[in-house]
Amino acid sequence: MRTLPGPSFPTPSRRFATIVAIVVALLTGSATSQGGAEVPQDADAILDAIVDNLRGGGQRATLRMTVERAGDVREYLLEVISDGADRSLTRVIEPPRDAGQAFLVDGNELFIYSPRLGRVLRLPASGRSDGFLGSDLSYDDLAGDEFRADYQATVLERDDAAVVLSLIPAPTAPTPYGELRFRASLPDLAPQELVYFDQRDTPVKRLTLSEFREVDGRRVPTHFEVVDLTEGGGRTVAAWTEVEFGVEPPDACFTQIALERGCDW
Amino acid sequence: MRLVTYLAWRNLWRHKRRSFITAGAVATVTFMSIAYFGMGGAAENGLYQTLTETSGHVQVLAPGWDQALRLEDALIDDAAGVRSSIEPVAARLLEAPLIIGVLEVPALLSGEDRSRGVALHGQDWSDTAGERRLGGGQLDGRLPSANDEIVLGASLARALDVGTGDEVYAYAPGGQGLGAAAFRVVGIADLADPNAEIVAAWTTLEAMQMLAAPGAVQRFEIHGTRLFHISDDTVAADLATELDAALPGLLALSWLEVSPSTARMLRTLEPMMYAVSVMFFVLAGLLVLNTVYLSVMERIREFGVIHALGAGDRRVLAMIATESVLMCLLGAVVGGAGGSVFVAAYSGGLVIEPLIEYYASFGMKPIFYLSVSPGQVGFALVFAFVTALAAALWPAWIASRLEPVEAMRFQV
Amino acid sequence: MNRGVWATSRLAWRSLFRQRRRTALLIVVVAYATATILFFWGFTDGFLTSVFQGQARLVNAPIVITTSAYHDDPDPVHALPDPDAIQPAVDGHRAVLATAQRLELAALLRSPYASVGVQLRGVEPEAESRIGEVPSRIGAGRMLQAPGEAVLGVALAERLDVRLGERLAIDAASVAGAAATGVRVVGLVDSGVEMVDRITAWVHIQDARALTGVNGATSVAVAVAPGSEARVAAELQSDLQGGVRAYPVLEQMGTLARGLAAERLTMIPIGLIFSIFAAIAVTSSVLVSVLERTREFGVMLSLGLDNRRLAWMVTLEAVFASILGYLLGLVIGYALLVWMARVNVLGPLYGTAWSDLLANLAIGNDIRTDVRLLYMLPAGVTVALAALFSALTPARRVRSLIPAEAMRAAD
Repeated sequence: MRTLPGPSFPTPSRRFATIVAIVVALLTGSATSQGGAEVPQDADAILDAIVDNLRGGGQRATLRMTVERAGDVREYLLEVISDGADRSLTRVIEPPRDAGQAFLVDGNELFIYSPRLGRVLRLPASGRSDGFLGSDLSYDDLAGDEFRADYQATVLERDDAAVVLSLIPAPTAPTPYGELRFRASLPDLAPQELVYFDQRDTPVKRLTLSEFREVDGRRVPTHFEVVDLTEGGGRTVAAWTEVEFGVEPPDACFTQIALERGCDW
Repeated sequence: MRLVTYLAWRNLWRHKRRSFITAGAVATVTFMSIAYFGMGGAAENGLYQTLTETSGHVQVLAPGWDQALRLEDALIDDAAGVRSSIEPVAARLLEAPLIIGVLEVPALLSGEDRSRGVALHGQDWSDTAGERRLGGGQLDGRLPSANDEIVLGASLARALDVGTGDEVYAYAPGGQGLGAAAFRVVGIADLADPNAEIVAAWTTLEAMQMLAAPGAVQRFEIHGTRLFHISDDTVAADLATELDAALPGLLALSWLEVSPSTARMLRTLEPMMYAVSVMFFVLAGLLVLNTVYLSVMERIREFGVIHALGAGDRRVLAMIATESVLMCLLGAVVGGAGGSVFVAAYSGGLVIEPLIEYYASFGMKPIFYLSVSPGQVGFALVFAFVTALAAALWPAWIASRLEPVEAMRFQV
Repeated sequence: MNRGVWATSRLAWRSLFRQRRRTALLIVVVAYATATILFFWGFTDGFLTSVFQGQARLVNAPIVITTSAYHDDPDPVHALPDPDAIQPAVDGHRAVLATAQRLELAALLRSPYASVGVQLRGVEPEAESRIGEVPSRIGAGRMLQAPGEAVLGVALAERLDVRLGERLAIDAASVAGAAATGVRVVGLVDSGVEMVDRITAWVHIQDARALTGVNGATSVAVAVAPGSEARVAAELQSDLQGGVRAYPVLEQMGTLARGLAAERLTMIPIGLIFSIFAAIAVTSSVLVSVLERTREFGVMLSLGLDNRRLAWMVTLEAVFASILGYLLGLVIGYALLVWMARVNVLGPLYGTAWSDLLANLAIGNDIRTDVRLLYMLPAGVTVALAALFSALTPARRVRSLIPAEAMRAAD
């Protein structure tokens, strides 16, 4: 009989998983529009425009991430390279204990390099879902492509400065939330805040976006803060520093060799 | 009264065989009843030992241990310090205690090209500790003795496609330790439970501390290796209470509190024992009656004669009653003493040689630790005594309802 | 000599019938000893089997057909090669009551507050309701009927903090890679059995197929009458090839199997004591009957019967009576066992005193005995040894009787 694995559920640490999740999620997906067009009225169109602004495209950046949980604070410094589609290479710079570890995401595959082991490990299919248990963020939370497929959008509030969309998930949407409220500034439709509600009308998570950069006419946030609003919840802050958008990294950057030795470009 | 007693006593000796048979029956029934309860106790003790084998008798845990979603949430940080607090208390209350620190780290374990999520189990190993962890399973190879050695469950080894001598790699980032380590497989474990086997990966405690949480453990298991009788289990509860007080900020729980469902397993014996007890004591009653039956016939004839000779009713009855009481008492006491000695002698373990191989095939040893409670001894004595007394007095009652002449000629 | 033995046997036999009461008593004792030994083992086995079977049936199924690779390593990658071909063949077996396909996978259940890893089971709702009792133990809500619905054990729901009617996200990563879906909790299982309430997580098999990319099943669950699992599994096995095996409930039990074996073994010392006691009872009965007849023997000896022949007669009497008693005991014992195996007599008997224990052990109030020919062995050995021993000792005594003294024997 299968017993519940319980506290010792076999998975790499969730903090690390959170990092990878955020990085992977935020950097994937390609833009659907050039932006700068007239502000749409239709909720779906508004949603599309907001989500577009989350798309950075190909980029190279340094990412500083702070994870706070129950009074315990961890800071990570990461170097990321992404092709803006479905490949990314992430290297840990700080803290020294974790430095040198690297993650390669190639479509659905995830590879891990540990300098201590001196080996590349491939996360197995059965391990991947465990790996992305972010109580603050998960892969699906930020997979913008699915917003349209899984949610029904309506305009909740609208004035001159901002618009708030209410997103109600479809019955079989792979999300446990009851409602998402997405606030964006007008007229640029830059995403400002995303609040996640449970199915009892209580907010449980809030994502605040700031520090916008202009990329191809779009307003892309480079500062993410996720607060867990439940009791004893923590906070995760991800800030892009030194970011170059609109670059095209070579294929060689997304190989296992690059994972071990880095990508010189 | 003294005259009656004296006569009764003489009478007993005059009819030696009859007396011995009756007293013997009572003694046998008492002895066997106590032996039966003793074996029942042995069954309970055997179950108790099986249930406490892998978990230990007392566990020291961090608060929130059963709700923790992450490794870091429920760790005992100063393992060495806590252990040194546990040791003197355990040594005082338990005989030959075994204190095992355990740290289980969720990790990715990889072979050459296959990997699995497992809970790497790190503890200090010794022969006894290994035996208890195996819980009746088989180990092909040996236990880990160095920090780069690992034992895998047989089905896990197959899933990873590795064997003894091969290397496996563990990845558990984000903790306080190194986050990664390499191991060599030194043993393959065949466990009775396939669900445990597919995630079984055993290494040393130090290796796990280095991997994820230096100096910490998740729990301390305290095994009383000489606790064979469930009646002694109160010492486990005492130990838990004392440790709970001695270790503020930590929890000390007895094995029943850690896993309340095991209490139910223990109770499964109750319905069975009850049914068997009924059958046993009916048989015991039959035995007494059957044995005493012999004398019933003669006694009725005797009483007829004595009556006819003029002895008064009450005198006769008193004498018979005294005789019976003496006989049954003697038998009960002898049997009771014998039974108690038998149980006491084997409370340290009775081995039944011919069963050794049969039991070994299930990974168990046929050592029976007999034990009885005073209540059970009392019940056995009273039952045998009362049954025998009733059987002995029965002829007197029958005889009293017959005319002396009829009684003298009585044929059952 | 032959004629002598025959004559002595006839004497012994006739003497048995002449002393009706005494013989009856001896036969009763032997019969009782035999019957109770039979009952002891049948009851012990049956009770323990009921306990463990009950649990296993609630969590798994009476018979489960999987690949042997899956049995070692329950991963959808070891799914059944062709369940749609296997199922009809199994259904056709006369002892099979129902079959259902299942697809199980490791998955993550997510609520807004917690994530819990589970072994998710994709079921065919209608077929599954004919397999086990879990659907009938749904305390709140109902059994799932369509894709997009889920049934959880009440303890699991509590751990996730999800209520009836709310949606859960399911993350999985299996043969087809990462996948996710959302389901609505339509039923909560409240069986009173801790394990069931803690691990039950069912969805529609279509959802499981979508999550894994496996378009079939990891197992075929088979319902059969209680007690027939091993036999039917063996019969089904002959039709299964290619690494596919039929596992009866006892082989699915994992940890419980060890508990079952352990408890069976713990009953052996009790059985031994019981047998010894029964042997003593028989012995004493024979002894007593011999002692009673000392005077009678004296008369017979003085009439010309020689000691040896008398000793033989006595021995044979004991042997015949024991055989009669043994046979009678077998009839009574097995009749009792068969009755209690077919009809749930013990359940209500135990129901009142131990109702909470039984409910938690998942046997409810259904307890049956096991019936095995094997039980004749301990009963037979006990009676044989007792009869033998008891026959020899009096025989020795009889051999040394002096007629005159014997006739005058007083007790």
